[in-house]
Amino acid sequence: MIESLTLVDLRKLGELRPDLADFADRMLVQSYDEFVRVLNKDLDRCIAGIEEDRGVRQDDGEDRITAEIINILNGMNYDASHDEKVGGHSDIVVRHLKGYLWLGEAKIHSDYAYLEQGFNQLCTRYSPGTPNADQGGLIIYMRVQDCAAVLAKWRARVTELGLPEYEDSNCPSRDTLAFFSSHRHEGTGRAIKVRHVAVNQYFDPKDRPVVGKSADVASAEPAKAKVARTAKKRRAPA
Amino acid sequence: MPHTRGVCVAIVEFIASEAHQFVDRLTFGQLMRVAGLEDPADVIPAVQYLTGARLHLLDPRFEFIDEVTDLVEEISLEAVAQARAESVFYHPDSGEPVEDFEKSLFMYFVPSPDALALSRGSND
Repeated sequence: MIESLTLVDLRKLGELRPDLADFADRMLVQSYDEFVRVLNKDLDRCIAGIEEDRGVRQDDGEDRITAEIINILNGMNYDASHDEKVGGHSDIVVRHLKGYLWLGEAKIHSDYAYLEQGFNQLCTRYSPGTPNADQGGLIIYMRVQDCAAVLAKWRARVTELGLPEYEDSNCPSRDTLAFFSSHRHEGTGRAIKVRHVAVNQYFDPKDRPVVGKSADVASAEPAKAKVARTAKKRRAPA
Repeated sequence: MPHTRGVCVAIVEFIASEAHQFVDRLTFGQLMRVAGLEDPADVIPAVQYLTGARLHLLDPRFEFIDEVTDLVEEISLEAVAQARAESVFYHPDSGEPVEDFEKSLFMYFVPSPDALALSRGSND
């Protein structure tokens, strides 16, 4: 029987059991930056799940999709909550034992003014901007085509806001579907860092039957005949 | 998850009992036995929960074991994190870099201050 586990053993377990991946990383968080780094990695896992079966979420509102992300984070044993009052009612609040705080604002993309409203909520209403509480995320659910282009336009718009000491940088883990921004927090004068993440929720499969074309009408004939036979049987006297 | 809950309950009951006072550390093997499990992987979700913000009853610890010299020495979490970040760990005695050091760093757990208070309260 295995008595003790080394770091190598834990890594190998994570390779066999994805739910246990990065367990050691979570245990070894020693700084706020490290907490956010590991959290972002785990958030990407949540988002990957949301993106894989996006077809079933087409009628879901922001809160429903966000609740699912929070449930997955809680399954990883994060202290994550929805609508907790931090400045206002933040969409995603994640706390760490060492007192670290990360806030997330989630929006279904409709127009850039709406995203700007969410960004301002995060940066000016919710985020304290204080040490160990000056990083967060803008999670953008996109049901439109070409998420990368939409995010690029959003990135350009944020740049044009003229925020004090504004910088942005790429996010290698999500390639063109995420970026980081940093600017001076109005309340504390310190830098506040936000990760803007596009979550693909576009779903328009092209394998559905096309109604109206002659070839397809012909292929529909057997099915129509079957329906007619079934209806005739039902009408037949007992 | 019901399974994780059951494992957590078993560990909490062990910590609250007098039995844990006879062990100074809780290895994965001991936690497995306490919870009646056979696979150490099944302990990990419960350990994650019990080391987290919601119910902080366990604290992780690491020790370096040199199988050649039989040296066993506790290593701080900060030192382990730094070693992983820099991909180098220095032998506590010789000061030389240890090859494949992650094979020599073992994780175990100790009851947190909250857990010790729980234990004292239940045994008064």
